[in-house]
Amino acid sequence: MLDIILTVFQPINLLLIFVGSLAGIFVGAMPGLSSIMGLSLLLPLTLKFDSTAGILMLLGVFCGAIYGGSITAILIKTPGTANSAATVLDGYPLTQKGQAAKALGVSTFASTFGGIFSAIMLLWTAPLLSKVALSFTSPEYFSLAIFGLSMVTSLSSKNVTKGLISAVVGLLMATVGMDALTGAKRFTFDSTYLLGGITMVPVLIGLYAFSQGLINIENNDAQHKVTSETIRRTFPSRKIIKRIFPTILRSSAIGTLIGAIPGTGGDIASWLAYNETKRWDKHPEEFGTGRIEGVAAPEAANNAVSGGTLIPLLTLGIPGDAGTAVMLGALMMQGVVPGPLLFTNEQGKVYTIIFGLFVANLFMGVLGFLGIRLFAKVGDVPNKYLTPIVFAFCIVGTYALNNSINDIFLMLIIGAIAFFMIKLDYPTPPLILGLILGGTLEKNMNRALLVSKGSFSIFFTRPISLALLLIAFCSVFLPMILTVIRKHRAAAKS
Amino acid sequence: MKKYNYGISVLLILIAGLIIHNSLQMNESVSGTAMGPGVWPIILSVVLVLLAVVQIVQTMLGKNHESEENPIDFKSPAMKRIYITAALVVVFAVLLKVLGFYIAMAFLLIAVMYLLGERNPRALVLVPAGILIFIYIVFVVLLKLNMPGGLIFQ
Repeated sequence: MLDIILTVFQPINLLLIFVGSLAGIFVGAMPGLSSIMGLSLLLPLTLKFDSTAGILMLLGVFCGAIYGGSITAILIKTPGTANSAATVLDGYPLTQKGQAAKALGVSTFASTFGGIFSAIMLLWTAPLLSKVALSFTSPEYFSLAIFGLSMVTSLSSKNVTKGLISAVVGLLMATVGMDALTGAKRFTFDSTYLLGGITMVPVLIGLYAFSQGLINIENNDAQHKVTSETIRRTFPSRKIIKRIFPTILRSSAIGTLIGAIPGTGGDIASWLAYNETKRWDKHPEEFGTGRIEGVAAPEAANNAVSGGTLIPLLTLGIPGDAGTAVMLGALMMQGVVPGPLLFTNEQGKVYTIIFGLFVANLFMGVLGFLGIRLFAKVGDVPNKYLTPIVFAFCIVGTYALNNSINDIFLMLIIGAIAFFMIKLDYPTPPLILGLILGGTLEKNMNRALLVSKGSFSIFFTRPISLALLLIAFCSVFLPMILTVIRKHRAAAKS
Repeated sequence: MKKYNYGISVLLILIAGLIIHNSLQMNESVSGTAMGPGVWPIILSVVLVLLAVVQIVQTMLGKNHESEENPIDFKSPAMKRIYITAALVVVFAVLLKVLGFYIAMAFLLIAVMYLLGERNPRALVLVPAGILIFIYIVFVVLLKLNMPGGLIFQ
């Protein structure tokens, strides 16, 4: 354990976590830049460092971006990321009352607490869960990937059909290139570039960063909000901490739990925590007028999600949302394959990641308290500068991965497609998840069928596999079936 | 939204058809594998066709709870900015191949800033210069990345 702590505390690693958290807060604080966008743009950069250092830097970005979103939510009523939408409700009224510093202090404290709470939960539960998962073989892995994909699809889409279409397109994209099992060339059109397959980074940057740049260009007419507040650094007083402690403890637990369910995410967790806090409060009617509990609850919950999502990611290799999908891709590119075997074969790596999450959250908190005046101004950067900067980073980041101009072209094309996907309500998280899980799915299906001599019954006769497939099926079709049943009931009544 | 749903569905069915056609020509399974390289893409394509058909049926019945509003107004000034951006990106791609990264990037940065309403000549020079210097320091000096020089500056 000591050598792990020493690894994380190496100066270069500490510096990278610091830079990562800083970059994350910046990206999170800028409306129009999402946390996934920050992760995608910084991912190629982290790949330039050795695997531990790169992963630690990414953890910094991961935590910082979620926290950063709350700053503009409180100050200018514009959440930097969807995770902080609930924070607006009580955060902005506090600013209007002239208590912005208090709100920001509470949000920083709650975020840090939530993050550290979830890291402890991760440390506690992940090894237990990985022991259960050790009995998994190829049919379970296949069903697990289907389960992860269907959860993300059903929860990220307004329209399940469109979500499923995105997921299948992502899976098909994963088949391009040299087939890992047979060595056959698939859909390469005799191009050497496509022989290597469609890699994740250009798709990711196109999907989440370049397309967002295009949307920002489209919405350029929208009025730009600027902060008028000058913020003093404020650490919440002991009285306030005592008052919000039950709230942040409950919200952190909610956040960790929600985070651990694939397909959910920071936005769901923060809304749930906000509503629960309101329900438990003696004066629920005061919410929305500037209660500090209304800031503390969503902020503790959305940062607690970070540790929660790492539970299924590290133990099962299943990413819960697009952000953790980026983490999964990054880990795989660094040669770390998440899954139960990780806990037996590479214990050092796992505990470095978990301990890194503690440190990243601490840095986030420290940066939050020290740099709040700077971050408060980040949201003021006008679109005419922000969008060109985003484009520049999209291009350089994509190129940095493999020194390939073709990667840049792929990224630009995907970005244009993603723009229309967003316009036409095709969700993007299932696509990126399909691309990442495609190889795993095919490989394990092949292995399972080899064992069963070609019979598909192997997926339905093993209890864990069957259970996962049933949940997957329900998550996609249950909402539809329920609507039909409800209609029939209504018809029967009238 | 209706006509887009139909259009995309038809497009997806065509793509799936091409993939199936292409996959059927792939070899049989190799020893040590249960299915040939074409099987998985065919399974996925069949699912894609089914989903496209479901989308067509849902749209016809109006049961997908989507607004009837047109999601993309191709003639709006906002979309015009997107067309211009697309053209700029194409010019950027050509410049990147021919004149290399720095010139292409400087062109794109200045053009996009101008498109977004920046008219101050000092800002139009200083902001792109600042971005390029930042990229040079972080990626070229610190991370030892070689930016593409293009055909001329190799």
